[in-house]
Amino acid sequence: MTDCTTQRDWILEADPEALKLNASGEHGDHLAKCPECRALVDEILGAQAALRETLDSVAPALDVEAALVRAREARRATQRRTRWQVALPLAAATLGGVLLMNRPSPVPVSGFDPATVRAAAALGLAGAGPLVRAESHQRVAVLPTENPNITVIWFME
Amino acid sequence: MKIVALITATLGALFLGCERDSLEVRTFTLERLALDQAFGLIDPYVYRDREVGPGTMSMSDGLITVRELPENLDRIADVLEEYDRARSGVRLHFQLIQANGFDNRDPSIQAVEVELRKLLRYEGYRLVGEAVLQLREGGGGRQMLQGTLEGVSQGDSQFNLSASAGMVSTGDQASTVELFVELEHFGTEILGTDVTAADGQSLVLGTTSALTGGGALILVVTPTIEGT
Repeated sequence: MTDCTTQRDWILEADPEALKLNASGEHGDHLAKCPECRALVDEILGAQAALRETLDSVAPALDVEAALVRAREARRATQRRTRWQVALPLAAATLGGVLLMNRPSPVPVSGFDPATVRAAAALGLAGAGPLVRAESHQRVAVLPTENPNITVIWFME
Repeated sequence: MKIVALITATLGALFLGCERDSLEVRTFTLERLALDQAFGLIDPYVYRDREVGPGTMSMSDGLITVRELPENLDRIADVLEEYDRARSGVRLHFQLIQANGFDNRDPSIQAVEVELRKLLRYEGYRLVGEAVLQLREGGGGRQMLQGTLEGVSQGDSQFNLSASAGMVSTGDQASTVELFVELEHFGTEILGTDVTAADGQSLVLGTTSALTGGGALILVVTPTIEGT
């Protein structure tokens, strides 16, 4: 099957290295013909590169690989429940649980917008995990830990 | 035909009479909703346009009295139970942590430190200070946190914590609360975010900070939701 839904499942499941290398075969054929799926792949790879760059510059001691692996594993647990409509937020999450949802922060808290809630639900965060908003100049990495009661949220300028 | 019409009219009258007879009056006490908010919620269940025995509603001083069929009164009670429960209390426990080159393990932050060491390669973590803020759902507060920052004078190790608690949601697995949290150092915001957190869940909010000489400041927020 080469329909977009199947392809997007693969895109969201695939390791970034596999995404980079898979320019041929079944996926490559589809990606060459489908600008939406190609854009999704580019989005994932681009965001991953940005995350690596940011984390490396902010905290050189950060174990990026470990964080990415951990976040990827956590995401896979809920991957099958996702819909492709939340592909972009999920793609961000693939990159170490990054949720790029920059909004001004109102006080007191009002309701979260539906897209944010959908994305968080797809990530398995809604209900048990955090939805995060940051200032517009910040990026946010949500890093799940092995302790289900502890979630690390890192803010980067 | 006349007989059929007569029977129909009689049954109809009996039915309408039964409906009118079965209307009941119940008074509901509002816990948190304003009268206009409660009116909007309840109004669809009050059938004022019923030809015989129309529903009625009157309101005063946090009380709503409704005359309706018992099943509609039950529905109104269900709606109010869901949307008009008493406000929950939210207690926030804050721990401010400095990340840099500390050798000693700090037992007071052990659980968080274990996870931080897996994710980050700062050489060590130490507790700067702790604070507790007691809030009501929908309310906010401020608290000074007097800490001890490595390499910074005691006078310059003061922080201000601001927080507000939004709506508390009761889920299948855990209650959650929408929070706004802000950490300031002499008017300069170090951290500020909106975040939802589950009851008892520790959110570890971190960022690099010039105050730490190349390290980071990490604010651990653990909400305890009371009265859900």
